[in-house]
Amino acid sequence: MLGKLKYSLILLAGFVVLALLCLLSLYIGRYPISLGDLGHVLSNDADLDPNMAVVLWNIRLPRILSAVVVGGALAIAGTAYQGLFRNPMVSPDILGVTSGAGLGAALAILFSFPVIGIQLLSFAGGLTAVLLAVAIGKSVGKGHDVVLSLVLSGMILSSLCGALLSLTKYLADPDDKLPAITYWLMGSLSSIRMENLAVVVPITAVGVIPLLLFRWQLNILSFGEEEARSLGINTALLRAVVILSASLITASVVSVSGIIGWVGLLVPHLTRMITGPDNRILLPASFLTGSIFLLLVDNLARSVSSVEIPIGILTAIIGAPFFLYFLKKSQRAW
Amino acid sequence: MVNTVSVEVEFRHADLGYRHRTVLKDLSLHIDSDSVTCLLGPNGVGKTTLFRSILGALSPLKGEILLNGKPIAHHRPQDVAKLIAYVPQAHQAAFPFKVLDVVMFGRTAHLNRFQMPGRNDRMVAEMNLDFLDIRHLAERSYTELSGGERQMVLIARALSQEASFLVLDEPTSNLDYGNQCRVLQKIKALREQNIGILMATHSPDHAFMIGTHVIVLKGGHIHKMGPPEQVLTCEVLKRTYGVNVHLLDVPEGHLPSRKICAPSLY
Repeated sequence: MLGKLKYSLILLAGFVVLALLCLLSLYIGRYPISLGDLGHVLSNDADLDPNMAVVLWNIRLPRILSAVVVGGALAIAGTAYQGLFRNPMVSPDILGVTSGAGLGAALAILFSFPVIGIQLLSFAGGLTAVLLAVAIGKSVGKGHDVVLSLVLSGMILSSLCGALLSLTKYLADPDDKLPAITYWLMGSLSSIRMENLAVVVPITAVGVIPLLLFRWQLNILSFGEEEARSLGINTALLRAVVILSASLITASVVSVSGIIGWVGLLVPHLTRMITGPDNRILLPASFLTGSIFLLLVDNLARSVSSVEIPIGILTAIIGAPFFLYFLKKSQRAW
Repeated sequence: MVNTVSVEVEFRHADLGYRHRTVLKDLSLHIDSDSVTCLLGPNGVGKTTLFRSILGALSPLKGEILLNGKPIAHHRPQDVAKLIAYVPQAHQAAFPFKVLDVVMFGRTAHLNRFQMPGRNDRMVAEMNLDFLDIRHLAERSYTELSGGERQMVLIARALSQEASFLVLDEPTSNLDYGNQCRVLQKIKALREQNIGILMATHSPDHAFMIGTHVIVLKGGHIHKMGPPEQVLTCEVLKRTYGVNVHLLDVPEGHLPSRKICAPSLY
């Protein structure tokens, strides 16, 4: 089938671009490394500047992998949420996962938890917020417009978490804890280590796999719950799978990266312009575009000035005009 | 497209509606795939409620609705979808799916949970596009189509479900005159393929044109039920819609003449 071939080619192109970009990103940074040096490091050459190996293996590689994982994860979660809510203006924040994660992290910092504690509490905070939003939405909606009541309870949860976050900041020591909370909320890939990735990658995979498996059914949900049901889909099951998976993915990456906005909103759009709305290709492709996007932005973040710019700020600065441009260009046909 | 599985829907003293509002009371009714049933009644009388109940989206408040002898709720959505296909009113979609993909959505009931549609599903979809004379729309975006075209696509989607019973919610509303007639022609053609039809409509003429049965709903009950020529009299139409209607006979070539409605404006 022609369609299948086209899909494979798009995915292949995405992989190639991402791989090349990863290689390129190894060179970018304040410590100069040449192509020859890279060869030496890879072949474990003995007479090599030991700093170079450290910079490559312990700093640049984890960072590049982080950008790939975090960017891809946020993008695929955003795509799934947009499909579920049948709205291209939806981002992974919609059910309160990011604000819950932010609150969890801030509390952990307030109580001087170690790094692992911050990650755990933020992960738990994100998932708890979503589960609460779903529970409230269910009890309020009582089978009427489930999606609408979910959106509303997500808003309630987000704003509640926001208020509690402000309270936490207000109580935090302004000399060390408040800045720590503020920096966490700005998002950064610089503190993600290989050990963190070893935990985050499997959890993300646990969320990504069901989304990929259900991607045809997700297409059908775009015509509304009742029609999807009449077409033979167990919509309650599908909704639960999508919400759980997308939230798991988001919570797990946000717990190590902090809040990086815009990726989950912008990248699904951008990808849809390339692939069209069919989740059979859109969903996997959005992971690749998310990785590429965040890697590019992170390369900017760490090379544009001598002081690193927090990546969450940069995604917003780049994302906002980009988004406007897409909106104008595509008009109604997202 | 030969359908042999017969479908019977039976309402037994069913109350239909929502938690705080019963829309249709004590409904007893038998519909099967051997008939074309037109559902008539004033706005808000509960036609959509009846449809949602048949599709299992709404459970009866009292009594029961049986699909082939078993309560609807005991069927999996996938199994219901293989028996009954639903054609909603033409609507706008959130994402610009290609028409061929939209029609292939109808194949979902025949796929396993994680399965993607394949060559055979594509062939079924294309065949139905051909049947409805809209093959030329296959590569267009659903969102760019006119109301009439979208309605045809939704019918093609329902046909791709290969169910033997079709439920259509006012398929001709929002269509221009030509498209209305074309939709009715196609529905009549489906009848010849042994597909049962339940269709809500605002026009009693439709019942005369294609209906073997007609159900008139009024005030939360079935007001009248039976063959259109017997049920739809001037008095019934007057009581249902509150207007005076003349019924005229139109010759249809060598076929028996057909009745049409001419509302009186005085």
